[in-house]
Amino acid sequence: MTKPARVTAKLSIWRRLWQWFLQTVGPRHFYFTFMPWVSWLTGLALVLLLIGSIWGLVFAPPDYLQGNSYRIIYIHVPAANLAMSIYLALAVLGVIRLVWQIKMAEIVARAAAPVGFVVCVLSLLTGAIWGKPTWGAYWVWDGRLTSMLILAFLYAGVMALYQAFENSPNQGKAAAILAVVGVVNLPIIKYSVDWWNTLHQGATFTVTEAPKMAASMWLPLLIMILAFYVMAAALILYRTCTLILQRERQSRWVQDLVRQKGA
Amino acid sequence: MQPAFNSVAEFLQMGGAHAPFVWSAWGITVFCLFILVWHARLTRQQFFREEAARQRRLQSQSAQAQFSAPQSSEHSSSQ
Repeated sequence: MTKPARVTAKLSIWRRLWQWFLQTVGPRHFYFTFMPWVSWLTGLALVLLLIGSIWGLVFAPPDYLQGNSYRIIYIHVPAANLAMSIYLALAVLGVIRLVWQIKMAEIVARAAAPVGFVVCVLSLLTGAIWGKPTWGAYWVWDGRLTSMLILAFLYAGVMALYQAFENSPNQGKAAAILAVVGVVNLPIIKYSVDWWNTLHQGATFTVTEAPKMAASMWLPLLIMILAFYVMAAALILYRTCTLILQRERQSRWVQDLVRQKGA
Repeated sequence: MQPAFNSVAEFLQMGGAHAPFVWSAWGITVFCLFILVWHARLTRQQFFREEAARQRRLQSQSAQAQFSAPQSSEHSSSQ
């Protein structure tokens, strides 16, 4: 008779841990934990953007083949990289939302999707502008460009689904499913330059090899990538906090915040 | 570290024919990032403005209700 009792005791410990975890990812806790981060992250992003831009535009040497047009790399690569990472985050958050029903995951995804979409479109636009002097064409239907265009469409779809089911009890389920399914596109984007003969150049940074570029060229690129990530983190946290306020507008702590702001 | 350009004019021309490409790409990027930040700030400010207005409206409504409640009962009894 003692055995089942012990089992239930064990279970209740896990359940209590789970309850504690759910509390910490609750909207209110999230708001007061991460809202102070926003200003720090914004400041850091501005500093990094400034250093990276000046280094990349003024001090990095011109490319021996492409001349100065290659300076577009300092926004094109960070934007493309970030667009893929944010999509991966959407998919992970989608799984968390679907499996464990954690509402915060959906709110963060909802805040992140438009940021990812804008960054994805940016990478397409800057890539097109870079393509003209380098390949002689703004657009070619090669693997990398086409799969990136599909990523932009996936972002648009996810955003539209979040918008469409704003007030239904199954909020965000459809969008989460699309985000998870669409993740197949990410390896296609990543390996498209290896799988198919293409105009697009290969990856600048790989985990296993040293960059083929000179350090004076890839260091500012690394700073710009970091800057884009920090900036996106600040933006997404900020937007998430606004979404939390809108959702919880009836609760006591939000009304207190509004009163403090007005006074 | 040496600048890659000898003068400001050379920098603005990107050393030759590439100025329109480099500057349009950077311009679009700055514009898009600016829009993202502006929109995020606007949404937050709008929330606080609208929510404060709603709270004021609710307060004045409840104050009116308290004030007019005895009056209305008096009014109905006289009829």
